[in-house]
Amino acid sequence: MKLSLFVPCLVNHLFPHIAIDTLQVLEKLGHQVSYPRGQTCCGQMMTNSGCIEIAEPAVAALCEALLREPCDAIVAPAASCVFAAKENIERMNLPGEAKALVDKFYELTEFLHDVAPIQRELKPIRRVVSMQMSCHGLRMLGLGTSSELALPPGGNKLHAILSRIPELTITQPARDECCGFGGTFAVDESDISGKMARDKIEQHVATGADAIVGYDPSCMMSLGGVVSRNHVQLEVLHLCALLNQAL
Amino acid sequence: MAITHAKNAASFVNNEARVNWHSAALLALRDKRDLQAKSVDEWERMREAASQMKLHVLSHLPALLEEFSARCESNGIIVHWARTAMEHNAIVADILQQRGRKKLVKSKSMLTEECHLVPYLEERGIECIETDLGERILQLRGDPPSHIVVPAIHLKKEEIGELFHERLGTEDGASDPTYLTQAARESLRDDFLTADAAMTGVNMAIASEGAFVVCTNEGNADMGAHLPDLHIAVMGMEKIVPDTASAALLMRMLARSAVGQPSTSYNSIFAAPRPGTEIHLVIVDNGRSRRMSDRRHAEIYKCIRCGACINTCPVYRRSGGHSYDYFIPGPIGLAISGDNSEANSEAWACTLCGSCSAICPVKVPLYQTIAYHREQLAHHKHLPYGKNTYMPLVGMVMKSPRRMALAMWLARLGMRLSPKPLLHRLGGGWTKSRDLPPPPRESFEAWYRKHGGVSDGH
Amino acid sequence: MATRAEFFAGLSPCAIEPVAMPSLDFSALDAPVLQVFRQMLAAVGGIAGAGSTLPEVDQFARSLLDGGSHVLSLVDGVTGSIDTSTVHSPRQLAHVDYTIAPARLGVAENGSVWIDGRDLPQRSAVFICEHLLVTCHAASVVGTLSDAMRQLGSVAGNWGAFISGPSKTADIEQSLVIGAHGARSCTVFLLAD
Repeated sequence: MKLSLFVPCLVNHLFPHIAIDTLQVLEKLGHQVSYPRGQTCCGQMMTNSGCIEIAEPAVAALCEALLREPCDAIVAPAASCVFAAKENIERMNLPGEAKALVDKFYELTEFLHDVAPIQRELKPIRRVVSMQMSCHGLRMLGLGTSSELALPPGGNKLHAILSRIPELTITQPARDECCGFGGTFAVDESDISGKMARDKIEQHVATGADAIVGYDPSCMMSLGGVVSRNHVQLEVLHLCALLNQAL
Repeated sequence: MAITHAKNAASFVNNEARVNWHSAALLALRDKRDLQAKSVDEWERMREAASQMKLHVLSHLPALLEEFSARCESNGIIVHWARTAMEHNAIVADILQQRGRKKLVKSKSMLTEECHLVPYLEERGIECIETDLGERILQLRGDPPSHIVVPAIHLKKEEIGELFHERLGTEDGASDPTYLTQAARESLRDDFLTADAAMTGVNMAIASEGAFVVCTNEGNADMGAHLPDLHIAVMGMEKIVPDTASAALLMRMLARSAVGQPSTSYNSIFAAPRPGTEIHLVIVDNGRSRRMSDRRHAEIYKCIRCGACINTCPVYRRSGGHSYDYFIPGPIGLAISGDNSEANSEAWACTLCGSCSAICPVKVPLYQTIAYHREQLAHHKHLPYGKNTYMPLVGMVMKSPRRMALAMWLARLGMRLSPKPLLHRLGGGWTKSRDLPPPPRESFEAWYRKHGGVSDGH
Repeated sequence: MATRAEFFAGLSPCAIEPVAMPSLDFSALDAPVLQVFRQMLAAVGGIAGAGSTLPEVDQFARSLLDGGSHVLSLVDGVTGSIDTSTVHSPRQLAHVDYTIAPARLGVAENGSVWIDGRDLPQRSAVFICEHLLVTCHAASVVGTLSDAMRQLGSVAGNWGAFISGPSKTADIEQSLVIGAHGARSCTVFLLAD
């Protein structure tokens, strides 16, 4: 497929390896990937605090950049950013062609599960990984069935993709509780946020995993910061890093 | 200077042992609720039906209130109308004073908290005794509740033991819950038998029957209502349900959602006073109608006051009910009143994780309403935590890829060059519990430019 | 205070678009009703009475009387120690150890029984006693509360209660304590007939 890579600002400037891994994974899978220049931001840092108007120019600029390259789909390795981009484009005062972009956005996990499943055999990775089912991906993008719902468990898209990697043991924390990042919450309510992050790390450690695998770089940044501060024996990885290794 | 929620919560969350205990207590309720929800085959279908039923009620409220009150009156229930909290209090006081009543036993009602009824009555020489055990404990302590269903969840049994030793004469140092509950039973039984008036809340008001339902585990609402010859029931006007089938649906979901029981011990349905006695019902607006005229607020009135959202909220569990400005804490409290706190910070006591909206038995769009409050505050430039100042700057930087690139290049440079202790200090709230990420050498866009758009993925 | 007219005049129009009532038809239990009732009665802290006929319940009541208890029987054929025609006020029943009341139906999903106020000399009877005993015809047990409300039809002009087990509380450190302000135990005799 002809894809455009949406690289959220956090990934672009602080975790570029996530974008590099994503690019390489998609190319290895045979897709034609371009990276439209001039991308800005999904706006969520502002819109999560209710500042819709302030964020509009940034979101407009993002749309302009993405519209420059025709594509079948726009893929981003960040669940909360994809959710925010779609929500913001829909509600803001933007031209029709920008609004038409909404249906093209896919977070990487959902793209590789719903749109272009991996057909080929993957190389084995002998590790134990614990899935970080971040809230926006889980509850808003439907990447899994959240524990509140009285539905049969399953439909975990991250699990489905990771299961394709031979010899990989996949676990997850006992609860799908929020990791406590919450955007500016991490700074505004830093005590509660820090406590939530520590509790989440504890749950990951209790699974016996040697790495956390997630689809949301913002949560990973928070959890990675706790792991580093407390010298916890856990690697914090994005899904694309494991896939790149397995392809 | 008004105190932010973060400040209010600090001493609670930083007592790690206590916060772990508090959070575990709430999670135990959440786990029981999950078991119950999963044991009912059609739970998700019931949630959707309950949501639709409540939307029907709210969108037809005046007609349903007319039907309800007319049928109540033909059942012999006397109906009063209160537009405000003050009118509610005045009506209740009037009913009591006209009959010379001095001792009121009351069961739990968040509406009475909302209207500050008890102090109002006490100022007028009417003794008010909370009969729900949790509420009674708080009344004796002089504390407000910290949860709408389990109001004393923040207290340890030793603290309650001390309180009862002082106020009820239990043994010094005794803290066994059964012993303490028995002491409360004996003390309150005396109050039930000597009260000359009783008050209850209303869990559901059935329009087609002119009846109202009161649900308790303790039996305190009934021990109150069936003893003195005067029963005053008070309700928010949104508590209406159209018919008995709707009431049944909510009765099936309420205790399961609240405390993980298939039912409360008592679901008491009142549709007539006992011969020779009176039932008065006060129906209250107090700003509900105004809130309902805003589509993005209106759905909060579907709420059946189960507290499941509060039990699941990771922020509530770690900050405790007393850290909130509003008398109702957690997601439903923020959804009702998040745009109305002194420091404007309540609506940010939330990560927008969505657990609350997912657990709500009537699908109140809780986190969505909290997000709406943030928009309203932003619109009026009433943002907390310095956002009024820095958000416009963020917007200016983020709208320009070049400006962003420069700002982030400087940030990375700063992160690389600054000594750790300085970074730690500049990192503010972040670096209290976390390290900053290691700064990368270059941005992705710089890497991509160098590699000319061809990665070594082929 | 407001008149009804003033109250309604003060209401703002609700912004929710009119929504139709959904279907409230829910499934029946998929397990035998009496089996579920017994399970749930135990789960809510209730006791299954040993006895499935009125004579057996009567025998049980007599043994309570022999033990010196004050027994208020509201079930024909079951002996009590209190003459119900002398009960004129709710507080009179404050000394009752056991109330034996008839239930009009039972609800399996939550082990509850429906007590109709018309079957009681005083509504307080089933709350003020130390212990509650209930007779319920096994054939009258339905699956869910939705079934029960459908069966009851109208409740207008009356009072009644679904009673699910004994009174209880967990307000002290979430420890479940059986026996709060209502009856300290609830025994249900399922009558076969």
